[in-house]
Amino acid sequence: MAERILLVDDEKDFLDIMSERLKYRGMDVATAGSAREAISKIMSESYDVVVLDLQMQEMDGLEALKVLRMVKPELQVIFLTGHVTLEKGVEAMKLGAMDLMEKPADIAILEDKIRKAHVRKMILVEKQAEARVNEIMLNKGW
Amino acid sequence: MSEPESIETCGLRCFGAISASLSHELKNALAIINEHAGLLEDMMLMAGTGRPLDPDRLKLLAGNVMKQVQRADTMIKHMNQFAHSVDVTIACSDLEDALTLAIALNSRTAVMKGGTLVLEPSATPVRITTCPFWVQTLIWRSLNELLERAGADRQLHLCARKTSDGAAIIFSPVDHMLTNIHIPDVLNHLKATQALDIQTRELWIILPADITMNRTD
Repeated sequence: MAERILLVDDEKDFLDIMSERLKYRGMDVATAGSAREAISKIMSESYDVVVLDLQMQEMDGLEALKVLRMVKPELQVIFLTGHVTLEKGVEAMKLGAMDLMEKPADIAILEDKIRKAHVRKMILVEKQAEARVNEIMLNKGW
Repeated sequence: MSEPESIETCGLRCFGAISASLSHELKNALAIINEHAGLLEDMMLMAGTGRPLDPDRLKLLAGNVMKQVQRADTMIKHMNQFAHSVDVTIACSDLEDALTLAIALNSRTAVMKGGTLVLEPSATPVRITTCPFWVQTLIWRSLNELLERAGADRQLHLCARKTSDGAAIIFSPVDHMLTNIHIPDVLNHLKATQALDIQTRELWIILPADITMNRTD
């Protein structure tokens, strides 16, 4: 099954070209030009991995990550940013980002990280489903 | 209460913040160029498997690369111009040119804060003898404070204007609750003063025509 990716960046040219390259690699890619647009898409669509820029206007990547973790905790987030300080990097990982890459990025490495993130998300979803089944079994006393 | 910032620290912070902002934007341009090169590589690989190359698509990609090179080149020119502002302590220059450079250097920061900077052309050239680097520091520091307080008025206009005994940098519209900009050391260094017009919501930074006149330091 193709990985469903949401690519978030305020550089339109970057979004266009990166999404085309990821599509060539068999991924199902949607794009958002701002953190707010990304949150709105995540509320209505299902994605496996969000590739998120750190520095964006209005709402930055870290703020967006906090919201994403609240609404879709199983969603995997990879930061892809122009430059990151050690402090911001640590904060991103503490907030639950799966990985962090600097631009310009090696597409093969990014592709590998996306595939691993997809697997991780599937495991998390399976565990959530198992926990729900166990809860039902316990409550219904079957 | 925290210690007031020294003029040296303020200058260094200005240099650091502007360099960081421009280098970040440069990396964005490089990232786009990198992905275009990567896409061309992908297309070549696909051409090797029999998928034909589309000349129109290639032309578009080349145009995009040129656009990003132009963007990066402009940024480097501004960065270079700013770096050379410390070459001379005092110089005679056009204040509108200083504002044009300041807008180029601070636009990204303004956008990050949800604002935009607009230059209002002055009717006549506004030449003054002053410290180019400290004028940039003054504008950077003022913009940071004004954009933080911009509220709904996210478009900030900058204008250079001749006064009877010098020149003024005018920022508008500023927050109606604003009383002053907290940069006493930089203002003192430039022998500048600030005045607020609540009616027009303009902040005036008034600079002398020649900073070397009656200079005590």
